[in-house]
Amino acid sequence: MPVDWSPLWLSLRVASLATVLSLVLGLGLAWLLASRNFGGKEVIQAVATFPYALPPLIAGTYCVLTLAHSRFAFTWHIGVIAGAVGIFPLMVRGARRAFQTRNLDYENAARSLGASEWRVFWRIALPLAYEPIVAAAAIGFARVLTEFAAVVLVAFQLAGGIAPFPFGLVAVIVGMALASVYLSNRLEHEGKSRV
Amino acid sequence: MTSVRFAKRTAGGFTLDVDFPVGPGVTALYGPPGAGKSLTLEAIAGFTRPDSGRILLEDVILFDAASHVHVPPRRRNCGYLAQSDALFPHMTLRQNVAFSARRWPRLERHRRVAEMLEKFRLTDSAGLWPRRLDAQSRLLGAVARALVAEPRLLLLDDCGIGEACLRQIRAATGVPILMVTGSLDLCCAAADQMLILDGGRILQRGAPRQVLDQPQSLEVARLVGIPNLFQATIAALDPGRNSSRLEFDHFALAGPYIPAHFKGNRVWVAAAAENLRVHPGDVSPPLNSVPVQLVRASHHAHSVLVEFSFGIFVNVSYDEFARQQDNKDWQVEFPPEALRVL
Repeated sequence: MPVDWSPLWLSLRVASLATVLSLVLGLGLAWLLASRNFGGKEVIQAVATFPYALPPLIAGTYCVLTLAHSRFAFTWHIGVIAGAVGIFPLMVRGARRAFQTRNLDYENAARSLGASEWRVFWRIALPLAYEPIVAAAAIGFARVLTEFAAVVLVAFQLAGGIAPFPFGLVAVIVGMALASVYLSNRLEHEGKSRV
Repeated sequence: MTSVRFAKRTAGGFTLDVDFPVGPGVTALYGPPGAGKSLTLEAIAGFTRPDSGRILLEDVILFDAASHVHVPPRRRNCGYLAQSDALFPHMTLRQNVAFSARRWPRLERHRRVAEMLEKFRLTDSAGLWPRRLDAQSRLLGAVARALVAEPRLLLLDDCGIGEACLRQIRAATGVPILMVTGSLDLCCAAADQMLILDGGRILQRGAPRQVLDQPQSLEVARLVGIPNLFQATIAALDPGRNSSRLEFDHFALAGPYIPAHFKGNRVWVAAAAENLRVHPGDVSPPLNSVPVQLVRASHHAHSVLVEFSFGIFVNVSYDEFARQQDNKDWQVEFPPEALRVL
């Protein structure tokens, strides 16, 4: 009996988009928290870290309820949003740690050479801090991938959509998640040894 | 005119209060660690905002506390080399140099980058990553990168630059240089002006030789490494003969006339170790000499620093020390012109 690979493609799509969305937003916030001092910084940090404290089920339910009346209601888009929210603290913490331990001399040198703040971020700070950031993104990707795949598979099972249980599909997803975690560890190790 | 006058109080309670002009050529900022040298450069470059004062670069206001002007670093046109190796590690040497040439069109940018690499003889290593370059090439690369941007002032923060490198920079450009250094040799060899900074204040400024030969205070004498610093009482003053008599704790010496002082005043007297002479104890004592005992001799690269009793230090050449090292007794001669009353 041919294997239905659609849960894999769906999980990959959701995990990739959630990772990218969370990465873009997380990078911006992490840069702000690491390089600026302003009132309410601690509160923003706490709010950004809060999804860590939420069980994925609760976070997902909140997303569904919040977007129940929008055009995204009960579509895979909600999975993207829920996934992005779930791994957002991971991205912010990873990127923030990377930005905080950066060597400011490089950025100051760039500024003295006429570089704007955006150019300093894009050409200097980000490339120099990419290892821990990509490591955080890889872990986040693995987490969304496995979580969403589990939900999809259980849902399909309950609906009687897949029979027998697709062990091959699960093995591929677990393998991909493992590869992401391995990549994350390698990058973190390389980043530390370079420091 | 380029002038720097500002005060800055840091979170740690340190206060930097400086006022000095920056002339053409090389101005050296010399002082002990924690004197405020790097903070001074950071304030000029715009990385830190002073609390008061004004910074002018060729008559352009970079900072003015009264009118709340604080030009951002990227608009100051000050080349800045930090203490640490500042070549961007994720770019090749050519990409590093090209980073600061962005404002020119593509062809012009290539021409300027190639020209600057050629000036510092870095063309062959232009495609290498900074980690593959030796320390000297990395430093020259950082200088080349700063100069491509055509700065109006080059700030060098104790980046390990040497005399030869400074000569190369001066040959490549006439931009004024303000450098932080802990090397008196480099100040003497390459600087036109020297500022002595300690505890956030400028203690003395002038030509390096003048500062070293005529320290104006005890602190400056200590900072420039004069080991012979003694307190003395003025026992006699003779303006007609341009002489004075100074009584120290263990000996007395004849010195030059000391203006603006009276008989009985207590003063500090400095004598550079290289201006004193040593003689065997068994020869007739030269004028202004003190009988002493050898305490220890420390061998340096080009001379021997000999320590005698009463805390007297004399720098002698290796040949001179070899001739006299078997002396039973010693005499140290203080030529009157070697004595500086602080």
